[in-house]
Amino acid sequence: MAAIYTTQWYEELKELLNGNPEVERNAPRGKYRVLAEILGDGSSPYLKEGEQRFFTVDLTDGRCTEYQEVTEAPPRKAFDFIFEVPASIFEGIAAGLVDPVNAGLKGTIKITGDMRILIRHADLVNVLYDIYAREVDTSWPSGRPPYGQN
Amino acid sequence: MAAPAVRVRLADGARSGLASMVQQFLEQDLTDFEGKRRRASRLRGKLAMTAVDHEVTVTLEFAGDQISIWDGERAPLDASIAGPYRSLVGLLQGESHPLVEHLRGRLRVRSSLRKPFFPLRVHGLMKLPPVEREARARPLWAYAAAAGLAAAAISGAVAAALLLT
Repeated sequence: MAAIYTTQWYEELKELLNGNPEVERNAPRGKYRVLAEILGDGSSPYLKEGEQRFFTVDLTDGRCTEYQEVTEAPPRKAFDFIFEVPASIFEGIAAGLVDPVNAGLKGTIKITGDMRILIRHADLVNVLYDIYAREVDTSWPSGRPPYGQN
Repeated sequence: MAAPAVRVRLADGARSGLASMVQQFLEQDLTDFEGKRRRASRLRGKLAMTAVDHEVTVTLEFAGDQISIWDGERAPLDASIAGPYRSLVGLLQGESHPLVEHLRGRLRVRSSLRKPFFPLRVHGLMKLPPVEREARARPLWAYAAAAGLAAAAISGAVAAALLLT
């Protein structure tokens, strides 16, 4: 079982993404670069308030070819989609406690990119959520969400 | 003659994700397609869109050279479309039709007597074209059924508008 935000955790996630036929079936064709910015929001024990983590995900024809954490904020123009996610929400999704669609519609997660692609492949969100919430075996060394109830 | 530019803006500091997504969606589509710009510039009125399962509503106000998107319902409305998020996405994907979905009970579509076809015109503007490979794969009987359904839907439109307002 890999701890959240570790290299092993990203690798497991990448393998699960690539091993799931539903991801390939629902993902857009072509090459896409995705940037996830995780923002410390004062609730997460893994990121202090104001701290940021950056993940880049490269997708080619529905397959994840790269999933890595970078230390510096990359130029936003290099990405097709950018997701700005408060840390407690990201961890809540990973723990299967937060519905990413609801967080997206309410504006808790800010999404920038070609919305037509996102709408066309809206079902992919549910597939990814299932993988995060049910298939990734995550350990929580500093406590599991929801915080304040551990 | 080239279609006029249509500005798409978030009004009153709209902060919901739905407002942001609709704003980006319309801005991108109107930038890329002149026909859609022309169509948008002819629309006048306000339509509220609600994802009932997530309790999020936005109002789109079409004013010719500008489309404003507000959080929540902004009366007086000319039309409204409410239903589960997945059904709203189906409309935008061009996979379903507002009246058919209304008749099936999946969406609640309302319009004013003054603008009974306003929801259909907004849908016509916003829906994505069908995916090519899926369109090719669809058999002829599906087109025939769709044509029959469309005819029934159009005849039901006026009645629905009258009944629902």
